[in-house]
Amino acid sequence: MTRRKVRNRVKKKIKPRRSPLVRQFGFAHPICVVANTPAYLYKHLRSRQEVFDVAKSHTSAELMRLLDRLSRRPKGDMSPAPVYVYLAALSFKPSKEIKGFLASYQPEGVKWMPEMRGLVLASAKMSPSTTLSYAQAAPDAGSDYEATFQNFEKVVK
Amino acid sequence: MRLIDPTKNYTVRKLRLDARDCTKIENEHYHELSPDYEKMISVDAEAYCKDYAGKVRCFRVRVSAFYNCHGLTFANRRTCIHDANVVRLIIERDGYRKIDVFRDPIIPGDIVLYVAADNDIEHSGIVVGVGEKQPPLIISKWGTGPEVVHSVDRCPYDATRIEYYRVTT
Repeated sequence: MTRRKVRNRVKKKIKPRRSPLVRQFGFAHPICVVANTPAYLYKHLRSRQEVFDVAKSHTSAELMRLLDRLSRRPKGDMSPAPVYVYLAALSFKPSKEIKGFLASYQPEGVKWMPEMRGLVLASAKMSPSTTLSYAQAAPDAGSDYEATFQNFEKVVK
Repeated sequence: MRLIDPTKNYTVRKLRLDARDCTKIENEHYHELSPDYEKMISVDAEAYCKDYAGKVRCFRVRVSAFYNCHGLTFANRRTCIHDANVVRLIIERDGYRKIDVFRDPIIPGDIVLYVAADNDIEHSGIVVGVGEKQPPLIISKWGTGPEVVHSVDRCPYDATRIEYYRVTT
């Protein structure tokens, strides 16, 4: 047997069987491997275009359904990467839509779920019903702001 | 303490780990990995080793779920420490002193922290070599992947904000 054949055999031997879902999220695996903290994992996944595309192409309900399905997958599909990707995608959605789901979502074998839950909720968009109130600051007479504004008016005239 | 993971992909254990002043240090490590899970992380770690082959000094361990970078730096390769706040706690309670690199030269044994813009401590390592006009050589563990001897700026972590610490007492 040639050396190349032996090498190929060894390669085949160590290569695990991966489901299409795991292959689809191949970009997330290296991030999962080197992540030392949940914050690193979350930040690096969320900054990926692939994750943004997932968020863009799915509604909150669809993402939650996918996550729910992942929590009931067979034990052979144990990579947590797809779960982390969908969670990161969920962070682009309004917090009102995902809060209830995240509170009760407990997938098996996802070691950083509690931390991810906090991170996702912290960066999820505020719902449109949230109003921001702030005190309107009137510029004092003779302030720099007013002076600049007056100058601007002069220039326009 | 021993907690059995329901999926049986791995078993989670926690060590009784204390700082110098007996403050409890939160940690966990993974045992009894299922063969599939072990293969999966091996393949991903191996891909990293390939990417960085020639760019780093050497790989000491190819893959291990027992410890991560903070576990190597602060717990002697016994466990994983995942929380940046826990790392800060160790720094404070163990009496580490931040080194001003412009006044104090870096020496082997110093601790290096990679601090992200959001103040997360993404990575840590131990200085093992210093040379003139060269970035320090450090030993660090990349997540569940390899343990690597590398130049401080040659790794998958953001090296723009690096802090050095030293225990002096």
